[in-house]
Amino acid sequence: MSHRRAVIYHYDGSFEGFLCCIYESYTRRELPLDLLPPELAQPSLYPVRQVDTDTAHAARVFDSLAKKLGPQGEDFVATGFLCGREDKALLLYRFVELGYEIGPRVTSMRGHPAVEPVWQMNRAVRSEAHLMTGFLRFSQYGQALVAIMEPKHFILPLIAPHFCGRFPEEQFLILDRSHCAALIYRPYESRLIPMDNLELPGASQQERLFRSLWQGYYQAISIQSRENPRCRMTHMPKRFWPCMTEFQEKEDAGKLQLPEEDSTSPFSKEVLP
Amino acid sequence: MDLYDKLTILADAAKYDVACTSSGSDRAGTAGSIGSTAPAGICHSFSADGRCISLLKVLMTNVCVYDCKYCVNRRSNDTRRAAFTPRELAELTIGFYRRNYIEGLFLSSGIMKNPDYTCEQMLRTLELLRNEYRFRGYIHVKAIPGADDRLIERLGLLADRMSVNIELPSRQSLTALAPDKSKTDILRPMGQICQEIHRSREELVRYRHAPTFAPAGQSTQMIVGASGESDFQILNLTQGLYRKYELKRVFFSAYTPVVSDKLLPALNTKPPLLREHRLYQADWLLRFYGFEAGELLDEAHPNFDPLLDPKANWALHHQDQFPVEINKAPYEMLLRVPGIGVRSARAIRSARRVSTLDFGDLRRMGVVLKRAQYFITCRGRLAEGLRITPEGTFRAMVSGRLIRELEPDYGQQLSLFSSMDAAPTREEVLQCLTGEL
Repeated sequence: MSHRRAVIYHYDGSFEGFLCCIYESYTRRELPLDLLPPELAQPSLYPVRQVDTDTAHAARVFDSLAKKLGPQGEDFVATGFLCGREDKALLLYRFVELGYEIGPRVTSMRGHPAVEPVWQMNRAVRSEAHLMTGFLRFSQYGQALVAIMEPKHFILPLIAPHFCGRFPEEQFLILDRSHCAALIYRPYESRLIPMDNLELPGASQQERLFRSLWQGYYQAISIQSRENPRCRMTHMPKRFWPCMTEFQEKEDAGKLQLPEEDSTSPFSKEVLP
Repeated sequence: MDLYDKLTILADAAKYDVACTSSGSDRAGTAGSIGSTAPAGICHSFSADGRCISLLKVLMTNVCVYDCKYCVNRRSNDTRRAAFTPRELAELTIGFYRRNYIEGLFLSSGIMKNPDYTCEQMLRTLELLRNEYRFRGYIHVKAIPGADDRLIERLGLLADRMSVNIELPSRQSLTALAPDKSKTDILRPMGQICQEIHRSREELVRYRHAPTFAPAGQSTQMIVGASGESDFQILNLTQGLYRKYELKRVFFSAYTPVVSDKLLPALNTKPPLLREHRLYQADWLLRFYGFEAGELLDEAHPNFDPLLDPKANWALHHQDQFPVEINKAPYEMLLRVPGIGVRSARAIRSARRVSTLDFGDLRRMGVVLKRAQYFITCRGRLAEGLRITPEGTFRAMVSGRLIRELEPDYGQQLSLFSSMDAAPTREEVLQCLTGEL
C-alpha cells in the first residue's frame, strides 16, 4: 500500500481515541507508523497528526469491528487494548487492518505476525485478571472494604463483574494504583472512576486481628519438608506479593483481642467441649 | 486459648490433607447473600511448599478417639489439642471470605466423642454458614466414617464436594496401621454419597429447584509411602474407585513422617515426592488420555520408572505402534504420543480438517516437538534430519535435571573427551615440545 502516506498519530490514550485513529487512517488514506498516547509522544522526523477523539467516529469504527471481524474479533481488540504494552495500539491497528481484509477468520490465524502478538496480549490480560480474582486482598475500613492492586494490565473492567457478583451486599473500593483508576461499588451499582491515591486511616483492631489470623494460617498450612520456593513463584509471581496480606508486616497476635464491650462478638470463649 | 492459637493448631493438623480444589461448582452470587463459585476454581495464594491455598482448610477439632499410627492427631500423640465452636468457625470463614483470602471452607475433623457427635458439630457449622450468613461460596466437607446416614445426607445437601479418605490403599496396612478403622467403614459412606449424587441428579431433571447433593462430586486421598503397596496396586485401586464410585479426583499424598513408630518409615525419611508425581501423571492418563491401569504397569513391573514419565514409558515399550501419521491417526492415538497433550491433540484434530499439516505447522500451533518428533510422521515423513536410535529416543524422553540427580554417572559416557579431562602433566608437555612422542 505504497500510495498511503506514512504518518505518526498522537491520540489521547483512550480506546475511543484509538478507534478514531483507525477512522482517520482510512478516510485520509494514511499509513500510521506508530500510534502514541500523550505520555509517549515526542518530536519526530515523520509527519505527526494529532487525532482528536470524536465519539461518533469511534462508534462507527466499533460497529464495523463486530461486522467485519466477528464478535470474537471485536472482543480481541477491546480486551487487547487493556494490555499494558507500550506498542499495543500499533499491534492492534495491524490486526484490525488484516481483519478488515480477510474477515472473522483472522482470530484463528495463530502464528501470523499480525495476529500472534494480539493473541498473546489477550492471553496476558485474561490470565492476570484471573490471578487477581484470587490474589486481591480487601481490608475493612468502617463499613467499607478497600483493596489496592498494582497490575501490569488495566484489568479492572474485567474483574469488576466477578467482585460485584460475589459481594452483592458489601460496599467496596478496588484501587488500581498503576493505572490510577478505582472501582466503587455499593449495593447494586458500580462505577469506574479515575483516582490517583487513597489516604487510608489506620486499621481497626478487628481488621488487624483478621490480618494476623491469616498470616498465622498461611504459616501453619505449609509443610516444611516439602518446601519448594520455585514452585510457589511460578504460580504466584513476586510482583503480586507487595499488595498481599500474607507478605505484609506481621501483626502482633498476642496483643490483639476483640474489644470486650462488643456483645455480638462472634468469638465465644468456649474451649474444649 | 485464643482464636489465633486455635486456628494455627487446627490448620497445622489439617495440612496433610491434599485436596484444596474449589472447582466443579458453578453458582453465581445473588442479592441478599455473599459468595459465588467458579467452575474452574480460584487459587487465592500459594504456600511456601508451592501448594495452592484455595480454601480455609481446618479441622473442627484435632481431638481424636482413634489411634491411627500414621496420623499426627492420633490419640497417643502428645500434641496441643483445640476445637472450634460452629459459631467461631462460621465467623472466621466469613471474615476471611469477605477479605478475599479464601474461596470457601474445607472442613475435616478428628473424632470427638463419637462419629455422630463430630458430624453434628460440622453440620451445625455448615447450617450456620448457609442459612444464617447466606454463604454461597465453596464448601468441601469430609464425611465421617461411621456417622449416621441421615447426617451424611444433610451434610451433602449443604456442601459442594464431599470426600472420604481411604488413606491406606490395602486392607492389610489398614489393620496394621489404623486398627480402629475397617475397609467397609470407609467404603460405606463413599457408596452412599455416590447414590445420593445420582438421586439428586435425577430429581433435578424433574424438579428444577430440587436440592443438589454435592454438585462438585466426591474425592478421596491415599497416602503414598507409609505402607508397602506397589504403584500397580495403588493405580488399580484408583481406577476401581473412578469406575465404581465415580469419584471426581483421587489425591495422593507423599507420606511425611510425623510420628515415630516401628511399623512406619523413620522420622528422617524424606517424603517420596517423585513417586507421588508419577502417580499423578498416571492418574491424568486414566482420566483424560484413555489409558487403563493394566497398560501402564503390570505384575512384572509393579512400580514406575523414576526417570521416565508413565506415558513415555508406555510408548517406549510399544514402539511397534509408532510412528503415527499426524494427518490420519485417530484422536485416541494422538493422545498416546509422548509430548502431545489434550490441548495439542484437539488443535491438530481441528486444524487437519482444513489442510494437511507438516512439522512447521505443528510448531506454529504450539505443539512441542522435543519428544513427540520421535513418534510421529507428517505426510509420511519423519522430521527432517532426525535419526532415530533407541538410545537417542530414550535420552530425549528423560529430563536432564532428573538424570543428574538420580544417576550422576549416567551422563559421563556421552563425553567425547572424558579420557582427556585430566590436565596434561608437566612431563607430557615437555615430551610434546621436544618431539619425543
